[in-house]
Amino acid sequence: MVLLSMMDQDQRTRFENQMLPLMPEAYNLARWFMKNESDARDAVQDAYLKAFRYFESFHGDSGRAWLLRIVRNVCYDALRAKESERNVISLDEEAAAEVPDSTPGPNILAIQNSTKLRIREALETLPLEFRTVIILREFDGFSYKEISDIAGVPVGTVMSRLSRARQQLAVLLQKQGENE
Amino acid sequence: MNCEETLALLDAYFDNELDLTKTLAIEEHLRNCASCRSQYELRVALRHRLKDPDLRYSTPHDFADQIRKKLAVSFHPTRKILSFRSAVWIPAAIAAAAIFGAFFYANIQRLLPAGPASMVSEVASDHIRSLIGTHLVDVESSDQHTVKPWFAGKLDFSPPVHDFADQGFKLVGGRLDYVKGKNVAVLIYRFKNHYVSLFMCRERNPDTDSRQKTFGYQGYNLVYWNANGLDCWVVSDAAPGALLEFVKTQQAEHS
Repeated sequence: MVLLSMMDQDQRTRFENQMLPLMPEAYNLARWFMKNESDARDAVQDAYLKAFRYFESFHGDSGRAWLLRIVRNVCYDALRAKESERNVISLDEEAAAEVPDSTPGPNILAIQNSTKLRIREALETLPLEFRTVIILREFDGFSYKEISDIAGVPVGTVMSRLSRARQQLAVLLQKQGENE
Repeated sequence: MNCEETLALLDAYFDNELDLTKTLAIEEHLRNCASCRSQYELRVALRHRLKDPDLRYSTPHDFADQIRKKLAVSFHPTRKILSFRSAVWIPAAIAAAAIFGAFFYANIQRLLPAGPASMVSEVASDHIRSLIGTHLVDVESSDQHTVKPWFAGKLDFSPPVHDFADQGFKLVGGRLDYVKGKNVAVLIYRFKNHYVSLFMCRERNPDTDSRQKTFGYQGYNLVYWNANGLDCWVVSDAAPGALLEFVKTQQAEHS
């Protein structure tokens, strides 16, 4: 029993050493998905607990891709649950429930700068599938193969989503520019 | 490559995901087509804007600690899973113990004072080495009349050799070993899935405490006793109860 609990301990240490350093990427992804800090924290925490539970089954070389796939899945589930919740409440309530995120974004002072604000808005406007591939590719530098693993879609789909996401982003940014 | 083909592969080109041939073909097309080139430049500009580190959300400062705490709490439920997998863990643990044991064997002589403690580690290490190596037995036989004569002339005493298959301890064979500068006789028994090594040597110091003692070493159990001028050590990963049973059986036979 002592031996077993030593193994538990050892397992947890291994997990922490390998997975906790990946938290900035995990949190950033969740934060972009969930659009507010509180939901992002919940999602990342869920993802870590889930990852710990299945850590035994992780044998791949990219712990990053493995963890982010879990984060992505937890976020999708949470968003789906939110979506169905929203469908049962009335439209008025929905408007009320849509309280804008009061927590400041990354470095609020820097974002006073309007170009930065614009690109953030544009990114948040993108459909979730498109936002996913942009973040994984542009922020985290994952390869198509890795993105395909994380997002659970074929490599060809990763490519076409990236292409459409970039075009949409360009259009959104252009529109913003015209509105000013 | 025409515009349509180029645009279809433009993102893969931009992301360095294309093979050399296609890369060269696209570069050739981009040199000559302003429209496709503007699409490419749009991506370069976009990437440049997305590079801004301020666009990344930084982790709340207390968050890693919070997760660590949650993991520590979730550690009890997972124990069930781990023990369920103990079929996998146990051989790993044995191997780890064996490596540890071998390490100890190499280092312990310097670290521990002479006496029972060092004898415990020597005997246990020897047992462990015999299991991981190929040197389990020199003479393989369940027949005590084969094993006992084999020791003749190799030792300055004649070890008692008995098979206790009826009591669950089946004689596997014997081996000559060298522990703490002395030749010792080792008898190997099998008890269920465990090997039991019985070490016997001439009493080294009649003044030392010769009462029966039990020891634990790296997950192995050891029992020492002295009988008829022989120091006897038995070591195994079998449960202490089984080991004491074995000792009793031996002592009954010897007395």
